[in-house]
Amino acid sequence: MDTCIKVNGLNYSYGKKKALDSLSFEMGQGKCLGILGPNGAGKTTLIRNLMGVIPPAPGVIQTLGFDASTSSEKICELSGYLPEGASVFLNMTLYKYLEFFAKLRGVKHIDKAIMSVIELMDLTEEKNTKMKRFSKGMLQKAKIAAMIVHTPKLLILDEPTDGLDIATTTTLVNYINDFVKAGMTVIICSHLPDVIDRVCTDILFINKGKQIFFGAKEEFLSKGQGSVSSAYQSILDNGGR
Amino acid sequence: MRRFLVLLKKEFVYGATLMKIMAYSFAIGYSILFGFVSRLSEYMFLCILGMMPYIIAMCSAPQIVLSISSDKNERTGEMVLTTGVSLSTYVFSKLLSSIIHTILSVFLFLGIYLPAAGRITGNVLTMNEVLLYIFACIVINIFYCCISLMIRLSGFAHKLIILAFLLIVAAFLVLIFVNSFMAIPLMDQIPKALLWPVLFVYGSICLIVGVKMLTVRDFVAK
Repeated sequence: MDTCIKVNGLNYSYGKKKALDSLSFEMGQGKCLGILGPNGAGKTTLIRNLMGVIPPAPGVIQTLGFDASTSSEKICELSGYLPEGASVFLNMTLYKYLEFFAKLRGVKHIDKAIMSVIELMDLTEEKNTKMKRFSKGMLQKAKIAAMIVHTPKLLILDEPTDGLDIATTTTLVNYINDFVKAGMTVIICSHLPDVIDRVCTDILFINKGKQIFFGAKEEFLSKGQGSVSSAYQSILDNGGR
Repeated sequence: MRRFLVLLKKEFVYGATLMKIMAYSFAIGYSILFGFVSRLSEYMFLCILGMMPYIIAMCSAPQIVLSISSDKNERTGEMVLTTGVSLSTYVFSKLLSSIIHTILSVFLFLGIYLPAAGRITGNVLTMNEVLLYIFACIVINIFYCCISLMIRLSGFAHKLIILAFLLIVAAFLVLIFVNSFMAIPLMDQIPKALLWPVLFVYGSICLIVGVKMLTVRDFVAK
């Protein structure tokens, strides 16, 4: 299996505060990685480093075969990244919103691509509805649709289910599972173990910027009582080690 | 270029906040021009008339500051900038949209109120003044854009460099405003016609230096 992401000794600091401390892991294509950790663990900083939005030291991160310190624009073109709590342009209709991102991404057959993601996300009836009339769950689906309209190789979702009810969370989890089955590499960042449990094949657990665990989900489950939640709690009870 | 036009269209069509600013500018123009007309001498009235387009431009132009700021806070900037759009494309599309809105605001005021005012004062807008107002709109937008970039820049040294550039533009803007309001014979239309293009070139250099110092990180919410 080809390597999608390779991190080798990643350190990152905000001024004097160390946000990430010696992270090293490797992830193959077509997998789903869950990044777990409490609030302030460094999850979002790690994701921004992977995309090159905040550049790491040269040679430390390879994303989709490109050095994240120098090739951020190329990585961004091939990926879809949904930041935590990102807003939408509420005065746009869903179609116009997706068209905006499709054009930015340089999609060739725009109408076909848009209709395809609208159908995939089950939003056909809302195609021409202004997004200010959307529910929170529909907005989240619209944002994810915008991030996959160019069929990216890598999809990164930062807290995608934050603030959503159980039913909407389940719907989104099913979509993410479908993306992985279709061969897309997905990274999900969450502080909610249940979401990670239902979609991920691999888990990276970080706490206070330090890598506590990286490996297959089954291996992570063995640290608790058979669920990601219990393993998560068990690690935190042991002082995050 | 394609990405630039996509961003420009989005900014222009969906920049609702800016359209509101235009409406407010219009209201300010109306109240000042006609609210005081009967209480002012013709001399003062002409001074206010000359200053109003600059005031309106100053009120409309901060849309670029608001737009970049709200993009950062709502993380839409992060979404757009992680599609592979370059920072210069992003900043310049916002700047151009803001310039167009400002010029529209100013000429909305001039187009409606000057003919009316002309009947009272006999004042007629010349082509020279039209060009001056266009240059003024562009320079004021560049000034605000530089302020917005300066706030965003992460390095202290970078902030200082842009601030040093900006102080000179700010000093000249104050001079022009004072001159317009007081009608000081220090600068009549001819030096002003030279001053705005010079400020435009100087401000553009300042802006390009600022954009070169930026990174996507400067647009990412903490």
